[in-house]
Amino acid sequence: MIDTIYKNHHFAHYAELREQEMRYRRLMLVDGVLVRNMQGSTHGFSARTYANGCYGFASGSVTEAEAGMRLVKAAEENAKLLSSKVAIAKPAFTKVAPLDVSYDMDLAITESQEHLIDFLKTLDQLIIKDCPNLAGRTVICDLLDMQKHLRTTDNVSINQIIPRHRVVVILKAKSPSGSTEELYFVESKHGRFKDNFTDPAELMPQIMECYHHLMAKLEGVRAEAGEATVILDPDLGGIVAHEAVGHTVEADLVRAGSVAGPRFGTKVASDLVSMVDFAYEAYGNKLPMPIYVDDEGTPGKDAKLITNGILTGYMHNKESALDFGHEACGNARAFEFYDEPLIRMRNTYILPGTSTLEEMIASVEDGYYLISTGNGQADSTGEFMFGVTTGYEIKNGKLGRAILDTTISGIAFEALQTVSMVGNELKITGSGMCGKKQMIPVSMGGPALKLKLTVGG
Amino acid sequence: MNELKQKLEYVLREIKHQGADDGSVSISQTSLTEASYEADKISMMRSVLSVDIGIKVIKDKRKGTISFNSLAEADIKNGITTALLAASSAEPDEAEGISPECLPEEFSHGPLEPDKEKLVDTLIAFTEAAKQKYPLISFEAVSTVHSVQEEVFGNTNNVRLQAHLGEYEVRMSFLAKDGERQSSFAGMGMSFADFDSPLIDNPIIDKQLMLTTKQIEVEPFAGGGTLDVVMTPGCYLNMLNMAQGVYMSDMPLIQKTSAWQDKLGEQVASSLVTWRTEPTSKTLVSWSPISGEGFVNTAQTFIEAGVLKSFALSHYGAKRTGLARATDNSSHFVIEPGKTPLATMIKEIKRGIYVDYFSAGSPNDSGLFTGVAKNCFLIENGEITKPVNEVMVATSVAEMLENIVAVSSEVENCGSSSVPYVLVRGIKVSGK
Repeated sequence: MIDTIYKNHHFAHYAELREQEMRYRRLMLVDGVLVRNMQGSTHGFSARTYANGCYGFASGSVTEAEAGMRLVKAAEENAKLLSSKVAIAKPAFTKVAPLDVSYDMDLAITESQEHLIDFLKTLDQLIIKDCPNLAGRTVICDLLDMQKHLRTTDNVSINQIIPRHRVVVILKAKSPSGSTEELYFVESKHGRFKDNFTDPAELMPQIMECYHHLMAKLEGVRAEAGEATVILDPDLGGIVAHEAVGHTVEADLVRAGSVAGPRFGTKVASDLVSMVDFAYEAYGNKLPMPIYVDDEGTPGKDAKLITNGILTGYMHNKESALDFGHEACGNARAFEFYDEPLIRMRNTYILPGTSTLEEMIASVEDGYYLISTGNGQADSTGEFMFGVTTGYEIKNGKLGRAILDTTISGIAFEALQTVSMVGNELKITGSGMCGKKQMIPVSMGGPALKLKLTVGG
Repeated sequence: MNELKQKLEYVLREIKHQGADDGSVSISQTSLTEASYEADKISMMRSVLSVDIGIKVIKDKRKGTISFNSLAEADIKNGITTALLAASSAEPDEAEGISPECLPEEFSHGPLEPDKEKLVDTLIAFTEAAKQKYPLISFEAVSTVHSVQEEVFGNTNNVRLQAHLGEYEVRMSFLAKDGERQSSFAGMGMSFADFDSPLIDNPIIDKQLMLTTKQIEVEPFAGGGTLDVVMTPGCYLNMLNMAQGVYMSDMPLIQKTSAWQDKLGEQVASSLVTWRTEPTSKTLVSWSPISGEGFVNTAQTFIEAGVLKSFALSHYGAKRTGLARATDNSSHFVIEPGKTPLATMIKEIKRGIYVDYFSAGSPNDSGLFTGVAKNCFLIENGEITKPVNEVMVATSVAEMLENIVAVSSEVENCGSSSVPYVLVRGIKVSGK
């Protein structure tokens, strides 16, 4: 459809045509009962044009070229209406070289619903066998394929499937006081479900680790509120990368006034901290959210955000890159076919250092080792927070009692300047969803970090 | 609408033809028109037309569901086949079912045609007026939106419901900035029947812009203790949503982890709290007349004078637990105002905080959460004195509801809910 439209329509201005299909499976077993047994898809087309500083966008659930052409014209009419009211003289976007590529077209979901149900049931039975004294258990398969065909008037054509398949396990147990504590475990990798999740038993070592943390948490104590020295496990290091820093260096938020705006080229973190938003591979590995070409047709490149403590980069779309005089690295992404591309993170990681986790814990006289989180939020001021669901006291360099759910917060560029040790192992997760007008899958990663943060009670 | 109704009948015939015992289908067609402001300018005009179809089939008490966005008959046939295949792999569940037979009903409400010029003109007028009145405000994004949804629902018990609903909305996120000083992000959304008055004159929008401007003077909150907390309507609304999620919805009650499990008919909140929903309301612009399970939503009282009157259970959740289904699970909350003017509420506080929202994770099953109080002001000796940040709160949702000691006589009606301010006593607060 897109190729037909592209050949038969005269585009007076820059335009993007995107045909997109999202296929998903959502299954959930709660205490052995299948409460969600769902599959679905959305399929549609969008056209976006840019003229005189204004975008016109139109989309619909169409598959025929004639209907698609009507949407192209609707997008052009929208841009025209805006231009008639607020035309701004702006230079044209920097052209990119023509491109015609396909990536990962063999990665579509092929598993039957029956296969996925059997997988969950087997996993559920393993949990019953090995994890006594649970008050509740939930096992979830959440599979998503994002298939896109994009063409732009720069003569870029890209076909890609990006899979994002997750298995989530939630364990609940009752404490002696009667309250319910909960922990969850998520596994997500790039690739097909059947390649990454061949045998439910392979997940049990990590589920057992989660279970043991949960049992310790039943005897947990409240963290002491106030500033503390913390060792963040690599999982949390990744959240810091995303929430504390990542959002502040998205160019649309910089333009709106984020704290990163006046700090470009200045020291925002300790010398030990470097951070990159990777496009599709790092350290020889393909990453969970590979963006070879973004939804504006910009080829993916790594965006170096912080280099040895200095703020060295923002994330851009075509328009902001032009306005700032920077290079666009392929950060413009849209979630559904009816969404316009926004500046989004991709695979955002703090780079590993040289310390072992054991050395880092041993270096803390009185503080906390914080391991896992539920979610986090960021702010234009750099103030960030995230919930901590698993953590332990550290006393005299040794792990102590488990702590109950708490929250940590800080001001990003102040907290990062207190980083005094960086772990030597990078842990990457592919299971994150970022919300910013539209949800979108992201990958986060980090090493362990030693720094000072404010801990809630 | 006629096309949707014809497709509905086709789907239900095909569900039976393919051998399901029962089935239901929901088809909706949504048209959205949006003008948006970003990057310091009017940026984009967007038109979206989308169709969604959700099918549930039950055979031998086994359920399968599918959703897609095509009304082509071949896709519908395929979808039903796939849903039945999924059902065949599921275990039988006695709680599975569809809504019982009822009289057909039709609903129509709100502006059903977009006025594109008005969307753009309203956006231009608002952003220009805001720059004039509040020059320190920087918008991250503002959108004026018109949406219209045509929805039909039917099932093999002869349920036939339809709704045609339209509304205008404004959504915005912004901060205040003056050189190196800046506030946190603030955001809001409101629904309207029409954009017939300038948005800058709307008192809720104006108040938010004004308070955000004051936030540039923010300083870290020092000390801590047990304080009084005045929650804005937006903050209180969020707290009620948390209560619904943690104590009143399907999963916590099915898994028996809800702290309110055995509390129906008992006091769970301050006697000043009366909380109900109005899915089709003269008070509210937004309507939700039809539930996703095929019931007509009717007003539901959740808490009356602090007593728990109903959980927020779905049809499925009700059958699993043996408790009553909520007659409305929409988010159209109408919270009864109190007798205390906001100014009086603040005057009576020796030391406390005024909070616009909490940045926090979801509370755990017990309703415990810690979070950062955002767009927060210190209250000292009956006056709002200064904006503060890095304010950490540790409490539980139940504790907050129980400790409400005053409810404002003022309410904020944002079009989809109507909520007052509340004063909560004795919340653990800590700072840097």
